[in-house]
Amino acid sequence: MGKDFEPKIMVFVCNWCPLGAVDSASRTALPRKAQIKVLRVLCSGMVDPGYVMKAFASGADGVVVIGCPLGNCHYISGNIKALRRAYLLRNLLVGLGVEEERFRLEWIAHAEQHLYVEVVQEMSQRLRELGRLVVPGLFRARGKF
Amino acid sequence: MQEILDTILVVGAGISGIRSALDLAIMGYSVKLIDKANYTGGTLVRLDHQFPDDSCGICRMLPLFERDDPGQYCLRRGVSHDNMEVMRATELIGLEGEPGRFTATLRRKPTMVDRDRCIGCGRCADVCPVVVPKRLNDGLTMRKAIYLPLPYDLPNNYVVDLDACTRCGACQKSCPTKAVDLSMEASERQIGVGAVILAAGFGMYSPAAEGNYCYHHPNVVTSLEFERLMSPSGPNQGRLLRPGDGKEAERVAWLQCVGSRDHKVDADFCSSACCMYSIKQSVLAKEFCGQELDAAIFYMDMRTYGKNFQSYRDRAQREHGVRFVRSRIHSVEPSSPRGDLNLTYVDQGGGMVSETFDLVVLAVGQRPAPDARALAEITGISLTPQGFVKAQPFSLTRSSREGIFASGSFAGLRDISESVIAANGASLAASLLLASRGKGISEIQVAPAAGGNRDRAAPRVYVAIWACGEAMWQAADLDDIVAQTAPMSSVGTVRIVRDPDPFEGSSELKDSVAGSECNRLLICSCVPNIFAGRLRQFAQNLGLEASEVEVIDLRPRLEPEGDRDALRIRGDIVSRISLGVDKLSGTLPWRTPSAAIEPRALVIGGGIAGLTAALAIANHGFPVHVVEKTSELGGNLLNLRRTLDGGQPQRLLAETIAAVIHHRNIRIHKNARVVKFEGQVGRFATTVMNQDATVERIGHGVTIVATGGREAATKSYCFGQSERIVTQGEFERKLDEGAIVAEELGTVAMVQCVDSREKSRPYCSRICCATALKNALYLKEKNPGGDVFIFYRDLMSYGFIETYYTLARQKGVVFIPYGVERKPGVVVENGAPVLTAVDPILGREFQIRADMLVLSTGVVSHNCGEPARVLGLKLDKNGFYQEEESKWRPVDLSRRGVFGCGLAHSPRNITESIAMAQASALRSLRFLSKAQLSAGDATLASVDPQSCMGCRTCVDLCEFQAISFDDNRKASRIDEMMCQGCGVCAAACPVGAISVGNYTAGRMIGWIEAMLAD
Ligand code: FES
Repeated sequence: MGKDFEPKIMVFVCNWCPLGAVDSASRTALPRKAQIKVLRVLCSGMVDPGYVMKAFASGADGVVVIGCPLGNCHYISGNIKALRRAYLLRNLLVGLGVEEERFRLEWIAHAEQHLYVEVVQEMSQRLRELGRLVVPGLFRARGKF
Repeated sequence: MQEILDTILVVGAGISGIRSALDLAIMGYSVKLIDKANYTGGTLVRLDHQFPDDSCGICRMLPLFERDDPGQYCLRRGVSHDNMEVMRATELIGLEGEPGRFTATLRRKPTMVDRDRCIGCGRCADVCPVVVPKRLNDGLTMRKAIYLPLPYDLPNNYVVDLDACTRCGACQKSCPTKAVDLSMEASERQIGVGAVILAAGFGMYSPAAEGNYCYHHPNVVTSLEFERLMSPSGPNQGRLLRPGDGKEAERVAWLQCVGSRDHKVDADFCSSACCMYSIKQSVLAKEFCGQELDAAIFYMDMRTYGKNFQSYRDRAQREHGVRFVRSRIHSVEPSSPRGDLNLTYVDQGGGMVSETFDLVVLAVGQRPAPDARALAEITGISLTPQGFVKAQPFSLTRSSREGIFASGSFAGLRDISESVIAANGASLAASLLLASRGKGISEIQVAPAAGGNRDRAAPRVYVAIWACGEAMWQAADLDDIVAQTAPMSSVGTVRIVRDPDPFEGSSELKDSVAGSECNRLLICSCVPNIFAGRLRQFAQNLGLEASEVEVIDLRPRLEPEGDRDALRIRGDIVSRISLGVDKLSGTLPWRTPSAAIEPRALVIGGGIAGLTAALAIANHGFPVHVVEKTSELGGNLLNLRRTLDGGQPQRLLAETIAAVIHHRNIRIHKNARVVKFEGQVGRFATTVMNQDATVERIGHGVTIVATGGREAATKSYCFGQSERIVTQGEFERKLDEGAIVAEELGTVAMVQCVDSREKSRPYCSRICCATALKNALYLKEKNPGGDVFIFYRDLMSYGFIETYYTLARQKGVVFIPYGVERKPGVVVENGAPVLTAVDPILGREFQIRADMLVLSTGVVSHNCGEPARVLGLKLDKNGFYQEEESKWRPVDLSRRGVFGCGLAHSPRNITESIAMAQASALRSLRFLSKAQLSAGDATLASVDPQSCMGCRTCVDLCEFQAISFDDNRKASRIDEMMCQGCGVCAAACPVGAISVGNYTAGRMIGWIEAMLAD
């Protein structure tokens, strides 16, 4: 994988706290050598692990789910549910042979645009080291979807 | 005669202004919200974390029903509502006329940037040569003269700082959309309004003039500066570095009461909020920097008077190891110009102590809003000598002039939750005024638009691309985008709209959509939020359902030039349009679910809180049932003879009762109780058992519980062993009845915090210190020669009560602090109490023989357990009703549509209880004002009963009690009225039986695929 490899990062971003940060970050410098796909969701709690798997299966090299800081979820506890789920999801991914660092769950507040930039930058850096994701065969077996 | 106007002007768009404006807009009034700043949010934009849960949560002020009227995004990014016009950079400069029909003159300052054209690309700021300190960060960072007021604002437009701008014109030349126009001028506008709500916030004391705090030193900061220092959007992006030399702070001191409780700076008041925000800051700092950080708070009295304040303090001390040092500050001296600071103070024993700190935070007090005088002059209201709004007796919001109301901290010293309560009160007062003049919510109501369900014709999407910023579209090549969009499946028409306001009356767009064969409308815009609100109206006129229109955000994700080629920008835009088309073409039209509302209220409890709420609702024209357990109305107020500020509670009570019993909309059930409570907001059914054991079933839309509280009983301090030992309540009553004669009392001792703020009853009852002051001052007035001793732990004379504390000391009342570990001892000798206590300064024991020992035993709720059980409400650990959210929804209880006020909610004085009752009434009217309550439209969860396997996972997960299990269908059922559309249930469902509005699993998958496809 040469220097030109541009990792694709799928970002699921909650409509409430983090969207402000993501919006303002999109006007400033984001990593140059990465394709970042932002999909707004209502709450980090609605991100089904299946969506993350789907993103990997469809060509994402990394997936980030961004929710409101703990305690700030507009729907009270959606982010806590996302947190619980992430734990299982990570185990599952690792079991399938997907490196742990390819999936991140982050809490970002409205004003923390620098944090968002940091997360995306770190991730694209890391992904460039890891190289393109080779989708494990097991991904094709469809569960819920 | 001129007509009464149903428009209300709200001046100031901070927390309280937003709250008042949202209240009124939701009730159906038309609201003009103005702020002189270029952003909304007021002081809050500088505070990232708030007491008590150290998180934000301002979005919880948004309504839970009819969620589509206001913008559904973070309120820090702006506020919008269909009934509201928000004007930034706008001031009130004149007000003529009379209540019900004022003419307000507004002046809009030029920002030199056309909001409709600015795309926020930032090229202007890149070329601007002027650098000035950034106000948002209290000058701790720098910005250009053309700048973004808030980085996350919606829409995010640049503005010019006129004071700093040199008019060099560089920005004007650089702007790709010609949005910058340095010749822009101020504009004036006159509007007719029925009432005015002033929510201009508060000012902060500046310690610059005071020598002994050493504020000129870079490592001495005010509390607001500290918030910015710690903020992720602040100068150090969230690291706590001291400004002087950038060293990591390890020892931080907070100095309380800077500019408060201080005659020298003309502040004979307590700023009320500082104790709690200092504790919050110290806890946050500990969490940020680790437990090694030394956080010390230097204070005179820690005023933890609010609900759950005391337990927050206890936690800070116990769990976080924050040091609380009762002391008086002698001086702050620098050991080097940019380094450490030496703090010298006098401790409780009178000894002089010195300590060294890295950073000193001055907890500066509140001051009247900088505009208070000007606004008072324009609106013709009076101010107190200190410059705050002078409110009517027993009111926090009614100013001296009818039709002008004060909201939030503009009317006094408040924290967030109290500001929200006062803001609700101001909205209620404004609404009551208009209702009394025939323009109440029942008169202004518009009938919901009728419309039948449509047949399921094949979706055809009309794509309207709003070409706002020319330059951006040049890069993107509009024609090519149109060419790529047109062949997409389900797309009927693609059209570029250049009209600056495409939604106005008989616009071209409307005709064009109506003339097309399309049954879906997709608007693509760079400023989606401007459209989102008005679009629905527009769609409705075209006969489209909410689920059939969609606005998508086409703001280019601008990246440094050259980084992306035009092809990719275009590709990105086309893929976003295709997502939008897909979203619309998959939706089947459905009606927004709605439920009828029983336009009636039930109030439980006939004390002053319950009666106030009942009266407010009844005066809006809605029937109210009041259920009172006893045979008499009035509750606790029956026992109160005087207030601290000379108010006449008995007169207030008599007037209120008279108004209530003669009101044609109010029915009173005495000696009655609620035995059964069913249903949910909008349609409750309550069974009341009347005195004669007859039962009556009442249908009502909302419920207010004000079941009251009482003075706690005690066994401490030899209570019960002598008739010379009484509680404050008994003392007041006996003085009034003449059973005790003030003139005959030589020595009176009072003990505060009896059984309170310790294990057995861990909270502060808030009102006892003021009551003690009131009774002490009364004694001193009747018998100036008598001695009064008050034993206290922290004297909770918050706000303007402080003035009476000062007065009491001047009159010779002796205040003696004691610690909870060394309480005064009492023995009864010859029927009279003898107190033994320790002199805090000399450390020696001394004795007082008192003619009377008065115990402040605090407030407990009045058997809340019983109503809580019947109504299914949660209680807090102290036995009061638990509110849903202490800051943003302080009167909403744990069951939707049930509101709490009075002592059953939390201990408060009369005026505060009334304010809370008004807030409850307002929250209730928000429902009653609608014949139909509708849910949010497009985003609601639904269950496919065929797929549901009955595991009930979703039932417990839902935070909004919207899911129940239907045993007949053997499937979960979602109550659409309660559903907030978060989608948590859908993600958790193991078989994918739940989907949320347009975010069905299938479509999510489709979008993910589309976005990732190359
Ligand atoms: S609303 Fe943002 S995580 Fe739930």
